[in-house]
Amino acid sequence: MGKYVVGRLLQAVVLLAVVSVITFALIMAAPGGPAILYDPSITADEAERIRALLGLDQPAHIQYLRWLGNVIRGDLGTSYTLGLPVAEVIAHRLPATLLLSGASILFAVALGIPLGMLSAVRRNSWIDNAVTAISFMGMSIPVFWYGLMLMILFSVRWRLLPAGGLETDTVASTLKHLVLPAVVLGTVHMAEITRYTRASMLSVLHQDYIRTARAKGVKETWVLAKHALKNAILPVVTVIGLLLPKVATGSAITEQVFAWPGMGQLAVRAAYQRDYPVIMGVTLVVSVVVILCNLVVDLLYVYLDPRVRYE
Amino acid sequence: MGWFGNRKRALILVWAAAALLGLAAAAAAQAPQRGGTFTLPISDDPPMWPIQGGIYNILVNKLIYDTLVRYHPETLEPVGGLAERWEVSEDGLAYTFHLRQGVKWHDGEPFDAEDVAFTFQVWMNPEVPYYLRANVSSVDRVEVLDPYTVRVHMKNPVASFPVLLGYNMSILPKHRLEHLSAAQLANPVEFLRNPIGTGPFKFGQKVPGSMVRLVANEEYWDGAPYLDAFVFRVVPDVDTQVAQVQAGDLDMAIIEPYHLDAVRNVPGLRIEEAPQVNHFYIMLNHANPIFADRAVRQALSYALDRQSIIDGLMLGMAQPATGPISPLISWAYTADVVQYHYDPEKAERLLDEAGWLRGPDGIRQKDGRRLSFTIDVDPHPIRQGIALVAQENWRRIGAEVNIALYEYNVILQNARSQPPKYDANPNWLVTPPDPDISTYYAGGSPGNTYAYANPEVDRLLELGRATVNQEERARIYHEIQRILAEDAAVLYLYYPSEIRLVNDRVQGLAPVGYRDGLAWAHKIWKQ
Repeated sequence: MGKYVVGRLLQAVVLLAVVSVITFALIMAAPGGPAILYDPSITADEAERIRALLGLDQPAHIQYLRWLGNVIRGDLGTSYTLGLPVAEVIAHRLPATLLLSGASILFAVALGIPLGMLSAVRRNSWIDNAVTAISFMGMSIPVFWYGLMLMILFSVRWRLLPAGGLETDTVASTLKHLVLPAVVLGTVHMAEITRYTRASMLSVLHQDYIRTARAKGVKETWVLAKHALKNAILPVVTVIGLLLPKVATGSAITEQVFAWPGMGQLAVRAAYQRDYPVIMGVTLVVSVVVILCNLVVDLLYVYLDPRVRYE
Repeated sequence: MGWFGNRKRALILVWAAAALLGLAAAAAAQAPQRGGTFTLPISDDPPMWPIQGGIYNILVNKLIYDTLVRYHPETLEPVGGLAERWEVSEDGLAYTFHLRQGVKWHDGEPFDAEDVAFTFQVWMNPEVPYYLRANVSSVDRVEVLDPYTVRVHMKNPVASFPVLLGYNMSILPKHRLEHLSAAQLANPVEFLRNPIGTGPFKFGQKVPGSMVRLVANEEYWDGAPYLDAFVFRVVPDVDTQVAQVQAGDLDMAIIEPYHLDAVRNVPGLRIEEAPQVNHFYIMLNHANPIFADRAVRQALSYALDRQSIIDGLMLGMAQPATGPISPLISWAYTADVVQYHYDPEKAERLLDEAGWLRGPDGIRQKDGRRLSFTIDVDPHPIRQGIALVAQENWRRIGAEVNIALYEYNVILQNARSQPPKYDANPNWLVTPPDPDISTYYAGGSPGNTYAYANPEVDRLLELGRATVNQEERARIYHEIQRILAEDAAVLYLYYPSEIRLVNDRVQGLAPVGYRDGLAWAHKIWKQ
């Protein structure tokens, strides 16, 4: 087991290197360049000077190796437009994204699993149909529209909640700002979890051991909660595991619509402004989180399913 | 030609009536009140460093820092800022600035001529990348005559110099920055954690990605601000900004015409139309042989239905443009130029006469070259709309017009390549309130992204720059406007108004575009 984890971590380093090369190549291949070079007032000489100062006059492979060298020494570089170290910029943004994504996944799990189970148990009833309709709507609704609609209702019309932004002065203010974006982001995840739980439950409910459990007189709720859910949960955990990386990446659109100061918004502005160090830094941090999340989920299987073993 | 259309005139009457009623009702209660916070959206985290550009940075800097010269909040004429007054020598080679006395930096240190001289050194230091360096390219040296008098010696006369000094060229505190190296001055991380200026608002707090809070500078030399605090909130999405103004979270947002229907009759909010030094136009790349032909440019201009763009896309919130100089700079503007009223028949005639004849497929051609080109456009709805109208208009006179969508960043890069890499592109230009447009029209200038070259224009631009007398300057720029119109150098579309959605409690906003008007933020107050 320990050997397995070490092996996976070594793989991760190689994977990170590959990801960074691909990201860098994509940045270089994309048309356009750092926004600071194209300020309408800037002269050609001045643009050249800035280019040299940022090392952008060097060949691409030199630029990459320089970046890599700095990263190995623990320096992610300085944002072109924000003027701050990239590590600091990310450190500012990561907590907001963790908060939003954590809340949205909590919302999704808390609603998605019970709804999925209900749907499976009452298969083909009106409840099942309603849940199915809701989850398909949740999956297909455009986030920017849904977000704006909730904002218009809850913030503009009823004045119940703030229209975006994040103020963390008090717990109450943080929660107030959190509700709408967490619900918007959570709805999409909830829809997925509901569908997976339903499908998984349905396949389990037909198994012999469920019939055995019922036959020996176990209470129906106990059948569902212990015998069925525990076995049905494995595919759902996989889905949640796939959602986990989003805890770090944030959702570009939701964060943009709700002016949420997180990683998604940071990534969007960095891409628009071609803030190369920030693009690279965000990609690196997100890759680390994705790789770690996958590892944790794989390890979690061992506990959830005794048949799984890593040698 | 009437500057205002009929519709416009009617509107003005309505406004006048409303204003009178409002005046009568409010006559008693309109003394400015103190207190309150004004909240404005910006698109990104501001570095708060005037050596860097970016509108989200510039707006915040206008409140923290001061410039030597400010623009009058109505006429945009240069008036005293940190420099109370100034004189220019007859040859235009020496500007003497008399500085205001008793001004203090936010940390209590006195401001004097050494700060001005130091700031000029930073602006002129080739090791420090400065986005407005072009504005000081003609400065030879700066001389401190006494603690409150500075003389700037020029290499050649630049008549627009005082105006340029008012264009976001903030004066920096020497005592906080003099020990920094050039590399550190490019990005003084520690200074920017608590930036110090002489402006009406002091830095208070920054929450990265969320907001910057400025507090009133009670000792401001032009009188303490009425507001207690000024907050800039990072809200990148304009639709969200509109929702936040409606929810009362923001006090003002700059909106697009397509928002108007949704917000026109919302109680507690008003819509203001403010003039700004800005024009929309379709850039043409003269490096493309098609556009090197003046007849083609003129024909495209005649074939363009500007009024339908103004009515349909801008919902009337704009005036037809006759050239690159804004009517706001009233002493230099002239409407007495060739005006391209929508006339597709005339456009076709011009093309016929120039030898561009319709081929079998209906597309005109000359010497084997088809009248076929691409409009590059960024995803902004208004500019996309302009591209679509132009495509439709120009198809009718026998041009094959494609549209290609690019990120704005890419559009800028292509325009600034030498030679420019595009055919046509709807764009806009915000300039300082001065008619000196050499940056954009002088042959070989990096801001001349149209590869336009006209020796007569070059000569006049140089003359206009070197002439100090305003009447003479006016004549020169009138001539330039006539030539640019006659040449159809680029296709001028309209002068857009800034449309702002404002909370009714807000009073005292300068009646010009907020890019210039925010220099008077200390006059804003809330009921």
